Amino acid sequence: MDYSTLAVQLFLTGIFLSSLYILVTFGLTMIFGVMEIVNFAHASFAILGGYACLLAVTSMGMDPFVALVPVVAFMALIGWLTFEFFARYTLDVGDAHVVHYYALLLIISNILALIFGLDYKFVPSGLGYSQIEIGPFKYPLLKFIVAIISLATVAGLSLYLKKSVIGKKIRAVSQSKESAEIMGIDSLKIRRITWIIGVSSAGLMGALVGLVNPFSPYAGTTYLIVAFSVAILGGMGSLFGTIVAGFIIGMTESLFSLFLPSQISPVVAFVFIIGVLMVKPEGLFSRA
Amino acid sequence: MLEVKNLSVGYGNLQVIHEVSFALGKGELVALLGGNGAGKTTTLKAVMGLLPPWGGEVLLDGKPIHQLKTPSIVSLGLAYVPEHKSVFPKMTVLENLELALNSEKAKEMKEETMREVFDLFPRISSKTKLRQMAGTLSGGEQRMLVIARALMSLPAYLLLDEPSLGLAPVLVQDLFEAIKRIHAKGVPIFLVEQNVNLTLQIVDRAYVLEQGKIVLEGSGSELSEMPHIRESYLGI
Ligand SMILES: Nc1ncnc2c1ncn2[C@@H]1O[C@H](COP(=O)(O)OP(=O)(O)OP(=O)(O)O)[C@@H](O)[C@H]1O
Ligand SMILES: [Mg+2]
Repeated sequence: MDYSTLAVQLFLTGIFLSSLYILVTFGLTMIFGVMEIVNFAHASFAILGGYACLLAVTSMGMDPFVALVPVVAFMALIGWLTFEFFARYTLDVGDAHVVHYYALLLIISNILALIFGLDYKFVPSGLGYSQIEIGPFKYPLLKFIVAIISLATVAGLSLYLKKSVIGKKIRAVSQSKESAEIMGIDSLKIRRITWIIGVSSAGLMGALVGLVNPFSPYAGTTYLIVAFSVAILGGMGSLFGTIVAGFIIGMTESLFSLFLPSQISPVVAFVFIIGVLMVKPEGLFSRA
Repeated sequence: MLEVKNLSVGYGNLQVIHEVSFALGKGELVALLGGNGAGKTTTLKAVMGLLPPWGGEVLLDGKPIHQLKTPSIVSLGLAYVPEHKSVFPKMTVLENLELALNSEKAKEMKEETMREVFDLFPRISSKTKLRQMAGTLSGGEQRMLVIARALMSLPAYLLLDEPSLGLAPVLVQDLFEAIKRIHAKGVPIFLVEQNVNLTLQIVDRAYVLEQGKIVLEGSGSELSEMPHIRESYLGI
């Protein structure tokens, strides 16, 4: 393999990792910004999305990429239920919510373990080892599609926040809840919508990862570590920061995979965090 | 008509407002005066549903609104300009203004209202200013933006909490001019102020709040003749 091929491989893998990292962190920081909640259960929603996709494909015989649509709809329903019966009671309780969300993480993981067992599963994509040819370069088609879907989702969500009426209201509540209410904005409704978007995007991310890597009920912690690393690096709550930080961590991890065995590549994220926290404790793009 | 009857409010178990009553009729400009810590802001917040009243009632055209949440109160036509900066700092001036379009009527009238508002506050009306992030406006410009934003919702009643706070004297003059013009258009205004001299010159009526109780009430000219007002508030 010559150097340019290697460079392109690493670059594409970097994009692939970044796209998923950004997608999972997007929901986490959005929920943090609008609801002032550190959602420790975020990753368990991703795992739930993985199992939902698995069921749609193996039990209902759906095409895995078509299945993403009902999976997102299902996750939106889960989002609505968890908001109405859980999240709305944890608003404005201060730091105590951390315990509630840690409990939610355990509850969801344990329910999944009861239903699906502890074995690692993955969603059959049906694409096998097919490669996509980009000029002289080759890359696994599956990873390529997964990256495209998650980048498109992130782009769509960013545009929605920037341009739509609801998006503007979401940003307004994240900047000041009281000022938003004075504008006649129903902050509870906006927080419900935000929560549902966050949960659905986590579910989508989990389904996409499930197509590429095996997962188990307790595998969410890995996603959580990545999401928190990206969020901290990007400055919790800054969407622009999330995108830049996601690319930084994804690209670096891809580069270091040359020298490091894959099991310890997440260490890269940690090293980054420690570095950033030493130099700029509020994150690179903090909202301050 | 906006009526407040025997309103009591507090924080924790500290009562701050004691059975306060006042009214704001159609087309009126009424002030609430009082020193620091008298309870003016607390009163306005209770009217806007930002603090739960302990007792008494708030009536809008005879209907009770004191059990409603803030967004519902706003949708009934009450616009509130808080004491502290409340722009959305990471949105442009234009986005801030557009967020106030919370009724069909306000959306329809957007262009026209915007022209009127720009006429009142020329400082924030240029094309470049409209695209500027609200958080980067000067303190005075932010105050104007918040008032302009309140007007964009075509309010039935306008509640202003110390709009002149922190403004340079020349800007204070401009601001009072703007308040007079908004009043002349027929918007009823409830004005909380510490700038007693200027306020008494433009209002129809005023109430004086001391330690959470209304101690005086009268027309602008009546109050400016009263010895207590002259000594404690006008310093003459
Ligand atoms: N969140 C709060 N918790 C406890 N006490 C409060 C709170 N906010 C205000 N107070 C107290 O209530 C009293 C009235 O405060 P308020 O802000 O209504 O006064 P004000 O008339 O608006 O004064 P100023 O002119 O300085 O703005 C003060 O004694 C203040 O310390
Ligand atoms: Mg005050």
